[in-house]
Amino acid sequence: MTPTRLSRLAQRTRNRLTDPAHRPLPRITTRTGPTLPGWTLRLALAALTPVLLLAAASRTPGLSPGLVLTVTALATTLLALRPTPAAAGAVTVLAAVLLWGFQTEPLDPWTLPITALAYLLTRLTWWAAHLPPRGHAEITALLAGWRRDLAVLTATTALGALALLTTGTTHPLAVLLAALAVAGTAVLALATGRAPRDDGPTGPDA
Amino acid sequence: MTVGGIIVERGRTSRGTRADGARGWRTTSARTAAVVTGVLLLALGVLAGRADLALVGVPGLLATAWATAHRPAAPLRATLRQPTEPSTPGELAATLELTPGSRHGADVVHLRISAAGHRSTHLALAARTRGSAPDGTRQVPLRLSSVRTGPQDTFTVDVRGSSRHTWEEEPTTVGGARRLVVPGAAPLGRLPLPRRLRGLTGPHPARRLGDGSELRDIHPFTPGDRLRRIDWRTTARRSPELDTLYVRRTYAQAEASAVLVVDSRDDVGPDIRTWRGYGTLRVDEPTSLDLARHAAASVAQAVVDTGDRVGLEDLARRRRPLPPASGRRHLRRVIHGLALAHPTDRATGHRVRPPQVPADAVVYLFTTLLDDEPLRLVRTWRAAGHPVVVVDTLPDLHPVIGNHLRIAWRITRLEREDRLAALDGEGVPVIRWAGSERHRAATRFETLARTAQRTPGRHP
Repeated sequence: MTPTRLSRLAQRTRNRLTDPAHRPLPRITTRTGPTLPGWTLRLALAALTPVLLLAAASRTPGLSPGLVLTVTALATTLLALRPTPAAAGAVTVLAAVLLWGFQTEPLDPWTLPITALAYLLTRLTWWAAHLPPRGHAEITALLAGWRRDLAVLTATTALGALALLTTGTTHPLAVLLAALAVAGTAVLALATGRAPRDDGPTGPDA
Repeated sequence: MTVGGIIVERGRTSRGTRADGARGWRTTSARTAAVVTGVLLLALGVLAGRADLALVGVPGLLATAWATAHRPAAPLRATLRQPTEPSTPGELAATLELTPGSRHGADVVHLRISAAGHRSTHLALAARTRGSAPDGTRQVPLRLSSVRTGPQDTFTVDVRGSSRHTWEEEPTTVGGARRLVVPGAAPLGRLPLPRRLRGLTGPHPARRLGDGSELRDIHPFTPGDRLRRIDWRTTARRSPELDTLYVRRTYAQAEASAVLVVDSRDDVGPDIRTWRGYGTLRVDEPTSLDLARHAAASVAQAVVDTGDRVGLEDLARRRRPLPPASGRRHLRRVIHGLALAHPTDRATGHRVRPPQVPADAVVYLFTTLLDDEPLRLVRTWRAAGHPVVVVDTLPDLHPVIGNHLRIAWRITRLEREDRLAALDGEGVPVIRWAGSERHRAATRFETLARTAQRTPGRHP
């Protein structure tokens, strides 16, 4: 190949690499409060999932490390690629299953941070599902409802403390009541799941 | 499936709206997933007699129960406020107003903001902030990065409110209106004047006698001269006996006329691949018509600032030319006409008739010189005695990629250079307006004006 052809080839390659038509399109400027990009939420989700699962599996003796790592990697990949509420629910159930091997009686306090982590995972999954990686979320929006979340976690801690106090006293009537409560909650959940949504006159021009 | 002639998939039409037309708040799959997970874990805990298993599902259930008890009462209202008057380039702005309605309305607002030629922006905002109005209305300023002029598409905002991570609203779309972006004007100094001035008033001294400020000569008083024109000092010097009075005669004031002829038959961008209509012109790069509008607006502004008259002709739309006139109101009319100039179908295919230009008017032709028509027009006007200034509005081109395009551009460029050389040979000044040359345009105009002033025979 002659030097002239080589220089032409180099010129063409340079032109293609520096083609101004391939520049990204300009952005729309908006004025908001401090924001976080969507990819950081996905990154946080991808970091939180193994933390939750490994924390749940750490106190259960007899688990194969290879199995735990495989399950953790699969769950992390699933949530990173498809951050849906169903996937978050599946990971939460998986964490609870990993807790099954806890030997501490009557209730291991380690469950409480795992419960908080599982709740945080659900919230992060919701955000990751609603915000594309290139989107931005205002920090005030991320913190919207933090009082409610704090109240929920406090109530859960109180329930855990109550369970810690009453776990030793098993009564058949209490078990029956619990089973009925679970069944009632399930029926309620299924009924509300099929119920028609609020279709009232709404919207800007309503 | 098809419902009433509309393709419906998973309960939604191709436009993303619900097929049944229902709107308003509805629960989401997050609620269902939280309930199912919680119930499953509760059942697992009861069956296994393990409170810790049940406890993992409790927060989700509690949060869902809380959210279900606090159903949003009011819809989220979104309004896009856009100024009604035309915008100047770089200032395509609007304000999005978000009103949650009540304290139990949306707490998070999801926005997808799109505009032609821009990247879509996804935002999740808090519905209420500390700076919100008393009724909870929040204002979000939006701005485009477009440098294009003329009719432009603006924002389209898809708005969806959500509440407590459980309730969501059907998305609504606001905006989508087109706005007219008028060209801005760069400051120019003096401009070349026509050979003869017209009118009885104006900013320039004419060659005829009349009321003005520039002295022509001292002349003996004749009937009709005004008494206040008598120059008593000269009279005392030349005629001590006062048998002859002398008056100061001045040149009359007059005004110049300029006609802006915009060659809007084509609108080409810096990327040569888009010249045949393929691809999209970027909004952050001015096209030839944007440059022509800017240059014409700058010349019009300079002409009106000096008190002269300016008219407008559009080569692609010959039906409603603006006759020369002066004043701010007329300037706004000219700039509005410039903003509306655009290529029409087959405008480049037919032969252009030279627009009728008022006598003694200087013609400014804004063109890309990509065909022979501008050259023919210039020769016609010059033959009629009009000074002509050509403003070259071809933008600075990107490097041409592709052999066929390179060959085509080489031929086009050579033909264009021939036309430029022909104009130069005939003494027609060509002022380039694209890129860095735009900043030198004022100097070029000043040079032309001075040359014409020093050598009255040398007009463009």
